[in-house]
Amino acid sequence: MGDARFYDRRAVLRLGLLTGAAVVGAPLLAGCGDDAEPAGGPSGGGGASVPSLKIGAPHAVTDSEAGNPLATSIGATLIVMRHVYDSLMVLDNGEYKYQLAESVEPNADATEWTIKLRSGVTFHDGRPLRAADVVHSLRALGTKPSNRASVYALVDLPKITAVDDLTVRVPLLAPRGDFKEAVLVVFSPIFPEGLTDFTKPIGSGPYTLAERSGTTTRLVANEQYWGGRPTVDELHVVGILDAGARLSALKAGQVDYAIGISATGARTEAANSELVVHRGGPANANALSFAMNQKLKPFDDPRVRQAVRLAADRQALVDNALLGYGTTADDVVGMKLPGYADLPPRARDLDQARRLFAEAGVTALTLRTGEIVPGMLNASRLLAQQLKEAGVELTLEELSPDAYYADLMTLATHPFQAFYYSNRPAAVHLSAVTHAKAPFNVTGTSEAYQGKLAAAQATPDDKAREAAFRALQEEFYAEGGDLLWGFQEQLDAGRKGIEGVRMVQSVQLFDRVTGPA
Amino acid sequence: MTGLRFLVRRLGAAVATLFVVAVVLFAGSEVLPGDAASASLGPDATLEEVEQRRAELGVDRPWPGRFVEWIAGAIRLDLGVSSVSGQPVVDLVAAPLAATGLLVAVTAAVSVPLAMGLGLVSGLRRDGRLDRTLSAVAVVAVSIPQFVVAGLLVLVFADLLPVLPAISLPPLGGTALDRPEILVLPVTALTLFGAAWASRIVRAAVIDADATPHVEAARLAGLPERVVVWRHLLPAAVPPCAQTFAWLLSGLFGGTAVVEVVFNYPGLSQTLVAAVRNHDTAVLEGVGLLLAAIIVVAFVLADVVVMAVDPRLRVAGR
Repeated sequence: MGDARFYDRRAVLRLGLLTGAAVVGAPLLAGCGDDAEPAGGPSGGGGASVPSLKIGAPHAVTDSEAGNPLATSIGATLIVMRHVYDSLMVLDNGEYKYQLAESVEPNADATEWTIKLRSGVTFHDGRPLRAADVVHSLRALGTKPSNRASVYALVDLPKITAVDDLTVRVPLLAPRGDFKEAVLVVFSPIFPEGLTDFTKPIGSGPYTLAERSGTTTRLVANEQYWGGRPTVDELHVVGILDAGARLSALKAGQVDYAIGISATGARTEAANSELVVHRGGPANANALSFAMNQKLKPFDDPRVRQAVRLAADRQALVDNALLGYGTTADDVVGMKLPGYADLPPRARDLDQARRLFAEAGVTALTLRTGEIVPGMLNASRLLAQQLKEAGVELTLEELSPDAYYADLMTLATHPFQAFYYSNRPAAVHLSAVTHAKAPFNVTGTSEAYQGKLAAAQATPDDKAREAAFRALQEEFYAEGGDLLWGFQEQLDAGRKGIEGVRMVQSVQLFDRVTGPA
Repeated sequence: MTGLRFLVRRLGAAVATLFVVAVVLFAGSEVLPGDAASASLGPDATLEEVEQRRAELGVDRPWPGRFVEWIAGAIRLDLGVSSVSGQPVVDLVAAPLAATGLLVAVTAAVSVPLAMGLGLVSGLRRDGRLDRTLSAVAVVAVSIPQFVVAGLLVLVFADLLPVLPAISLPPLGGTALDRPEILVLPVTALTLFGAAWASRIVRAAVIDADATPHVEAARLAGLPERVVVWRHLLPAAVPPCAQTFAWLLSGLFGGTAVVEVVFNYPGLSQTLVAAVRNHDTAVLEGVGLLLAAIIVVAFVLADVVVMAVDPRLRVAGR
């Protein structure tokens, strides 16, 4: 399974994600993920199996979202969805892996893909997984009201066919060498043909949805799970909106694991011997940027973009705005994920920045900003000080988080703004965010760049495609519009002895968790 | 003016108030950027898809027709359908509204007698040591922001002395009443502010009533102090107190959000946050109107109480 080397892509930043993060201010809302391949058997460090685990998660699961892969948005709903359904492919620990698929192969020009399914998989109701189920699921996922329909925009949905019981043929509308990472890894939960009532979800995942009451959703282990029986008998996913309340509930023993705590909370509890703070690392992080639009003045001048990037002290930004719970970034999304070009660290060079600003005649800039993720406003204020040292006066135009994304269609019309992305594989990020029609194309990429992007996407050969995307990253690093300064890590906390929580594309999986022996 | 006419006038004013609130709520939803259609489809939706969704939701029609429909529905307790879940708003908000109602009711049951007692004691012992102490405590309690009070309560009673739950988590399939201890900290946080604030107004009302000629006459007539207070002073203090408690109730309904968030109480705040996130205007407008109706009813009831204890309102104009 480890032979699959593709790019993952977390789902396109959804409106729900954006506004949800804005309203609640939680840092972990950065996209969605897919289950890892169930390897079978516990991997939690030799602890005991757990009868019941209570998980505090941002956002309550609502009736309409619970168990409905067509309406999954953020936080707790993703966690529920990932435990109930298996996907065709997933990104696990930085590697693309097959889950329900056994192989996915293109034809010569990458216009048609053949998916071979794993045999011996059964749904919760005992029915075996068949190609017809996959055909049904992919069509449903690709059609409104599915909120992930755009992921399947390149698929010729009516022409998907079941070749035999375990083989599916998927024709595309145009050649795409990146079909696996751009589509299947992003979002491909499979449900049985004919399932329309998602309040009684049927998947093939390690858990079944047993009950939803108030803010709590109860999941029960699927004894017959093809990947091995889960180590936790029951999961209670409790929606707790406020990060402080999640930590309080953990300390009071009301939950065993708190998803998404603040950096302040992590620092405060660092010495607490009863709790363990879990850091997601760059692979499960928000990539924080001050985005410059290359099509708008003064950022149409590459010298200005370069000067801004050289004037920033990234380590100071991470240390102050993220309280050190992050990693410095070097202007390209995708660190610690497949296909990252591993570009050289961008060092601060004030002299060069001053010179470039002077040459371009820039002495003042305005930044649109807001607390869209915790720490962004502090980072913006610090950037203002850093730019002042380079001779530029930065004015901050502050907006409330809920107003920040109110008009998505005008997002790309601001010259300079604070922004955040999910950290996902560079190729997936560039494909989703920097193409001409993306509402989040806030760096205003050029037509020449977009031509190269389309060519890279269409390249059928994995190695050649990876090289093409590497070249795009290098171009973005050299001349792009992001001052991408830091990766804000996912921060969770759990009771001591709770081990084996997996982080897959920023979604926590608990099926192999063990407790204190 | 007879009592009936007084009541009819008050009810008329209440209906007019609700109508104005409805207009403001509707207008607010209209002018806010974005709508439920684009929110439910996401940023990748095409213009055609958004238009189609707008038609499905009925938000493409001119606003006067929609407003009239909404008002007509509201009169029949039909507040429309959530654009996200497709559920009727009334069904969607029933459980959270009941939960918030419970929180408010318990808080009022604790706050009102407490505020009456403290205000009475303070007012009767005006400028004494007890009055000054209570005043100082009340000013402090009113001044501290609620999220700080709530946080301190969690720190002390859930963390340092782990005797109460940090968050209000009802048992699966149950309500807060099945686990009453989860109400203690939220009610305490709300009561500290509510009782402190209301006790100051009760105190002032008691002092005013104490200075009225008929109370003075009762004292001069040699009636025992207990009789003076219970028969003469308290009834005179009731009208301002009734209004105060109506204010308190409305403040609680509108102001539990902070406490609900800190304690993760399963009330209206979570519904509202989700509705704001999804631009679910039907839910936002419905909850707004329901809250306004509850508040207006509270004030009408306060007026009825005032009428019951103030003979001038019953007989004036005869």
